[in-house]
Amino acid sequence: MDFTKDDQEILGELINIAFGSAVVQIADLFDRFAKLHVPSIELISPQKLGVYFEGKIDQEGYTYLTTQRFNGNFCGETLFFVNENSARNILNLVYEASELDSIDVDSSEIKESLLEIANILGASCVGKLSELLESAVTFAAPKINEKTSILSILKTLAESSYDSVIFVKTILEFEDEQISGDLFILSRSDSIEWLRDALNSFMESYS
Amino acid sequence: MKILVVDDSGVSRKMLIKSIPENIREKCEIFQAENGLEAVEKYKSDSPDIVFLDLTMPIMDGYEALKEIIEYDPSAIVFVISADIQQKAKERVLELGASGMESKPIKPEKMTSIFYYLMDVIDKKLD
Repeated sequence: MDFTKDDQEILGELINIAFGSAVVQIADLFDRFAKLHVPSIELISPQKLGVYFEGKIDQEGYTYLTTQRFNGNFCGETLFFVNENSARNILNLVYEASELDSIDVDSSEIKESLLEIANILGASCVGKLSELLESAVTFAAPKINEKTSILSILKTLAESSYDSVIFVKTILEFEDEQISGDLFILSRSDSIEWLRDALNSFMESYS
Repeated sequence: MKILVVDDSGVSRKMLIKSIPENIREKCEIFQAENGLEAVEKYKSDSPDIVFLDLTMPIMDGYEALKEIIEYDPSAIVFVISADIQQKAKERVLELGASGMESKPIKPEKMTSIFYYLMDVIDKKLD
């Protein structure tokens, strides 16, 4: 991937800002206070995704993967990957304790709650990143995939034309709930080229 | 004038410093710190007139650093610049004694107005 160390540092800082904005949206929506953590950001090749996910599924009980496509100057797909425990914590975030007592909590509730959070997180993060770079993106509806279909989804993604992955390792810490998740932003070479130019233009505005 | 810029991100510190109007920047002595602990130590050793402080940092976060700086010097002028734009975060830093808070990233035109505001805060403290 053709990113200099400076490009990566600027991208890291802008994703930090964009991620903060996304977490704040979730906190406001559910009237919770979020403690922001510095997300760890890494640029990886799509070929590494399969090995990474296999390990997470086998060793850490990761069970849910959401996917969402976005289009614009910067286009691609976001993946949000969480384990069962974090998925249940998302449920606790979305529903009040009193509501949890009265609803039949099954996997469909967990999936709906996870989709809601993944949608806000991915769309706000990528949307804010694009906004900071003076562009805009549109989003398709997010989809959720369970453990049994994750590897086949990844196989499809590996065979698609994505060239690069921005890997954002996240912790969403609210007053009572902690959600650990991995956010991946997949994009093609033309988008990465646009992103690199936009990052340089962004920094030029400070020179 | 002495300014202390505190952020764990080198790019963020660079952006903030470059956003300071040139006519002010050239008259300033600018120090940098990468985390809250370093910020508290530099505040005590260098006595800056203004501190620009991030909140989300390793080792010691901005809330703790702000608390320690204000405990050490209740008249310290600390302006928080953070990706955390929650109303509760703003209320908390103001309660801790921050002079103000703005969301990242700070564009040069925004920094100019922050400086006008901070000059006013300094004048009022001198009166």
